[in-house]
Amino acid sequence: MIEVKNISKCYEKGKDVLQKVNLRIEDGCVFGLVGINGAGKSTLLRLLSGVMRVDEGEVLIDGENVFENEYVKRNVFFLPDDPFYTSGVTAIGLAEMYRSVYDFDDNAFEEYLQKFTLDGKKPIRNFSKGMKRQVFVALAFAIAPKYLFLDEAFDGLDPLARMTFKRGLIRLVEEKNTTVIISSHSLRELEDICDGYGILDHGCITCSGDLESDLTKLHKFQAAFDRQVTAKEFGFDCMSFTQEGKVVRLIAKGDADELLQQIEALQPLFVEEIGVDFEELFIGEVESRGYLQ
Amino acid sequence: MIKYLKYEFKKNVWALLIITAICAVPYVLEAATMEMWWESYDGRIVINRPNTSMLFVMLVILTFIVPVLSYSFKMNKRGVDGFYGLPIKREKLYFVKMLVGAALIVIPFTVAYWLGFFALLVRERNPYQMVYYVPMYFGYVGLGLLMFGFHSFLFTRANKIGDGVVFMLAYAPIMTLIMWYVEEAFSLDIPLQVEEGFTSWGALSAFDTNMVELIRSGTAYAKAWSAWTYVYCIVTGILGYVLLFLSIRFERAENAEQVSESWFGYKVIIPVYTAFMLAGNLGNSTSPLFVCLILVCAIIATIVYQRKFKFPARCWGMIAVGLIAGLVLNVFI
Repeated sequence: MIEVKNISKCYEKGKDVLQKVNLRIEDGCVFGLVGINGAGKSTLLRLLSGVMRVDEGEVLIDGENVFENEYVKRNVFFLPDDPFYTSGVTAIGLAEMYRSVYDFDDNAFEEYLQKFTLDGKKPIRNFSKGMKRQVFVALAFAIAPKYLFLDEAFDGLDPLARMTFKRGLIRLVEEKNTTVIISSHSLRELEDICDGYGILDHGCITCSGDLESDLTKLHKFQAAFDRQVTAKEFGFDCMSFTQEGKVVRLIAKGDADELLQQIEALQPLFVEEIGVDFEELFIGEVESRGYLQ
Repeated sequence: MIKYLKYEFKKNVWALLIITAICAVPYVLEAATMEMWWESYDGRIVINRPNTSMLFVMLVILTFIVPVLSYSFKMNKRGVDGFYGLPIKREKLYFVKMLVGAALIVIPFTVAYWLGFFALLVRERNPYQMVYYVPMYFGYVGLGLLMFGFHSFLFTRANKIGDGVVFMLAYAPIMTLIMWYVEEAFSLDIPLQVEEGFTSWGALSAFDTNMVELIRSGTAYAKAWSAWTYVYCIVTGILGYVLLFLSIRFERAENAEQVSESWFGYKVIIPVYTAFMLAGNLGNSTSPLFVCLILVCAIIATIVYQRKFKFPARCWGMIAVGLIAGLVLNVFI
């Protein structure tokens, strides 16, 4: 289990990147970490993987502090958004490094190199951005850690590679009960695989929970009126409100039937409830904080 | 850690081979072909210096280059993510890097040294006292490793590779600069060798000079003053290793690629150089033009430090401290 207790981190005096972040992630959970650019996602992942030291608070993995803890870190693999490799190194050469510090499954590595159709003997520097990422994804699956932290996980991956990646993740979680934390801006991809989520905003987790249940708490309605209506006319707070002519789309929290009754009170020509996805949840959250108008 | 150490050695095999070839080929060729002695017009045999200068240059260059090869990972955000994310303690990581770095110095040097030794040994009418090559090897290696420790510490104070190189180069003669001033200010008669002995390679140079005389004539050349250069090298070398490992626990991964704010870096180098250059060691003048010249140099160094033209007030304060200290120190000259 991952426990983040009141952690703060600042790079410059007076400019906190993370402030009193608390988080608890159960084993076997696939956790989506989302936030706008500069929210502190990469910093949080670096703290979780022991790359950086927290200024305040503690990061506990299986009850132990992760920073400078070899024993705990043997169960952790961090794949940053721009992973490190030396000039001239090949995928096989890179695997050699990770083999020296992790339990490494050569067959799994070979399997994923083949799935991604990568030549393990070619220098990584000659690979495209997506191919480089595939090499590191193959390494992550070969290490099969108990805790896998992925920063900008889908960045550069083509749709086929994304599918292979997601299948690999699901397999890892099923077989090894791996806990995965993924930061990404591809919210539709995250929705496919995540159980839990956390929204980071200005260094704080402003919203977190079980993705499926939180999505059911939100309701999206589409309604048509014979006149122009405003958000204020509805008797509830809209997380998101868009209007195209006389057609209104709104997202709100609360009881679906009550919300529907209040919309019907405005005598729409037509109203229906449609499904909410993770992206809409995220946009609704950030809109409600005044980022998007 | 052993597995990781083996991996690092394996990764560096090519670098090792290339450095070894670069060191060994010219040295051995010179040893095999150099003129060891010549006959003067009066029939006297004059024994030439053995080609140890090449060994000295080789070691000095290696002790500047190898810290860059070993520790530059910490000056790169990607490198920091890659290495600090590994399940290996930083002390162990640095220890492995240090061992591999030491090997990159010692192995090429050893191969070059002993191949050169045998190339000399098999030559006919060899006038050198070859037995002294045995203690000389250990002296060279020991002093070289001490220099490596000192340079490694200085290099790792930086957050950018360029800054690390500047730190190593700037600290190498810093004591000599101070000693020139002391000699001038207090009208002391310090031998030039003593002043020069307080560079980071001073002890190696003094050792080379002493050993050359032993090899050439069998008589020791060592002077009392040279002991201080060895003390300086030993102290800075040991301190370098100790501080390198002590500072690891205060290392902030997020500093990679940022401005190098270490107190062992520009914050000391710029005012010290400004003060002692202004104090007259180099110019022996406090004419306005000379002060302006030093000021311009200090500003350029601060631009290098801050990597921008508009630097904070504390940097101007740092330059002012250097200038004022320089003018005050100049009074004693």
